[in-house]
Amino acid sequence: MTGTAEQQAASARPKPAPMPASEIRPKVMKMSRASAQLVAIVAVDLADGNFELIYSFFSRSELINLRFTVPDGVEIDSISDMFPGAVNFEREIIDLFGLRFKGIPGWLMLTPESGIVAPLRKSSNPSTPASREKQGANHG
Amino acid sequence: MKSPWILHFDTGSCNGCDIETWALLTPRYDIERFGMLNKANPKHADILLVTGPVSMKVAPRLKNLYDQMPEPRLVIAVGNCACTGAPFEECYNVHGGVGKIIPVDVFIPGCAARPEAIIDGVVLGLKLWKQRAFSPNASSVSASAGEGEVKG
Amino acid sequence: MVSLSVTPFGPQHPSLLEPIHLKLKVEEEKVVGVDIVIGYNHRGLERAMELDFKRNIYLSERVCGICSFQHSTAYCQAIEQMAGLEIPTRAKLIRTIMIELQRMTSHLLTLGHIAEVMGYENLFMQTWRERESVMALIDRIAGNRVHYSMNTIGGIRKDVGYDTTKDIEITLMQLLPKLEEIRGVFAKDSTFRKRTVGVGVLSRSAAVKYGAVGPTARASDVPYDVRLSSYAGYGVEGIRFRPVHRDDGDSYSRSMVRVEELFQSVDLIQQSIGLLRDEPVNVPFRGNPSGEAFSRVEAPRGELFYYVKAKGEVRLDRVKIRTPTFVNVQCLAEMIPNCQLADVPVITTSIDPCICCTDR
Repeated sequence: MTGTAEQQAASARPKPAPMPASEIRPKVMKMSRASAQLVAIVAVDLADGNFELIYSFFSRSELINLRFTVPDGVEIDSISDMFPGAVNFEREIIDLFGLRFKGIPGWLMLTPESGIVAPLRKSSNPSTPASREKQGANHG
Repeated sequence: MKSPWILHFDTGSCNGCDIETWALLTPRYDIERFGMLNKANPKHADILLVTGPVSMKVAPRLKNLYDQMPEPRLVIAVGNCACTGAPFEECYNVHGGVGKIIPVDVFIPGCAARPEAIIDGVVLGLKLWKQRAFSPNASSVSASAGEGEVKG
Repeated sequence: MVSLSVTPFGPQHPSLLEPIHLKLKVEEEKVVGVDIVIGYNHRGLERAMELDFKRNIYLSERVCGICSFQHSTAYCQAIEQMAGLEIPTRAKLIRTIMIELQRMTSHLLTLGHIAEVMGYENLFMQTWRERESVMALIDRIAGNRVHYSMNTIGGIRKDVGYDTTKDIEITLMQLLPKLEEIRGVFAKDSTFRKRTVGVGVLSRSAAVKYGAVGPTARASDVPYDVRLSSYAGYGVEGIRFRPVHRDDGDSYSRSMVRVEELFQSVDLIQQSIGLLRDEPVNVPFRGNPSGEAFSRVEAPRGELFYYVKAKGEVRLDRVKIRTPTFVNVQCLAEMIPNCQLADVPVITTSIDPCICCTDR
């Protein structure tokens, strides 16, 4: 198998079941105490009303992925007090997926004037600005 | 009459064409011999060199820059994405080329546009600009790089 | 009474190559706080990359022009991992050679840029002149200076012949003395040292808290280098490599890490050429990918992270790209406060920001 040694080791391990949103802060706190480095927060639309949040950490030469399943509409706890670098990730997820994080504002990548809402959700079909203008002209 | 000053602006490109544009200032290509000076204030700029397919957030800034430039002014679109928006034209946050926001006079294709092509386009742009400066009625003159002699 | 004013910096500014907006809170020439506004370069590429996994090799290169090959390598690695493909050693080594060549052009670019923002035009011209010989070399190898199009799923598209490897060796031999000159200037020049030593300090604990990567982290005593995880050719038997790191955390350290990495890149390329053997450069890949993969490579600015999830179709379920500047740009909130207004361009350039990567 190709890939780095850690990737091969990670693929050989059985995948643990995703945890609920309430476990985010306790599990991330453990990472913070181990002086792990936050690599990324990845959001995936599971297309069944739920979203998967993968918090990737790098600790002691391996990549640790914590998986959480979060239903739509729930306000998620922010981890920016433990990891200040998490703010940009959370703001981007707010913009692109329309999820909410406690105390974190959106509008990192998108602007309110653009008319684009949660473009990375499976249910949204984001169009180009030109076709949005045409649609607006047709409805107006 | 002074040489025209060129203002460079990136509207969301991958940066490839921008680096090639900056490479023109360096000894190998040395565009200063044509009178190009980068780093101009928009109110002093004569030629606007734009890269990128124009993202939605940056579009008002581009329009603002163009409006601040005094006549005679010229716009050069560098790179495939500035010309047509390709390969980002279907993306949700992209207008699809500089021509969708401001009028463009010279199109320089390429991904990334080669420095030789950019020099070719800038020289063509300088010719057009000088024509406009001396004969204001020639503002309808336009061309694309590689077309050969400009008639006007 | 001390007055607080907000000075805007960007998105259009002569010293900035790309659109980023910094709202600097200034009290009598001293910057006390900064708000970083990004998003001017956001094209929506993660959505575009869900449409066709084969087209993404082309599209991933165009996320960023300065680290284009790193993006396509990370993407191809992710798909290869999902498919369980083992690419030939020759392909791994050629990928390493191109990665390191691109690293050299990127570091020379940044070093010239930081010289330029402090008004050191001569040094800017010198570094970019040397950069041109590497760009011309890449042009001869790949046919394009910026987007190489050499990667494919399964390895490299076309082989690199003996003449080309000889060309690389000769060009690098001719370049080494020029790089030595450049190293001498950056290490000892008093103008450069005055503007960068002690300026924009990022402490070790702050670097870890913010998740800083690349030379920005390595200059703050965090020896984090993804090449240690042996992706591409870095794990091939016979390649010796150790990350460069310093512990002062100021703009001078960050620039010196990049200068030292130039020589490290030349060494890695020479080692890789020495290990090349006659074998094919790709393995066939058929069908559609399925599963998920985490792929990490060391781009010039730091760790580049790709997450790809596929369901056995031409369309991909999710592509997440986490670029190094996305985390590094947040470190500016630590580095800029309490500096002089004139230091802001130097500090911003010293983290080597790549806004097209940040915004995608």
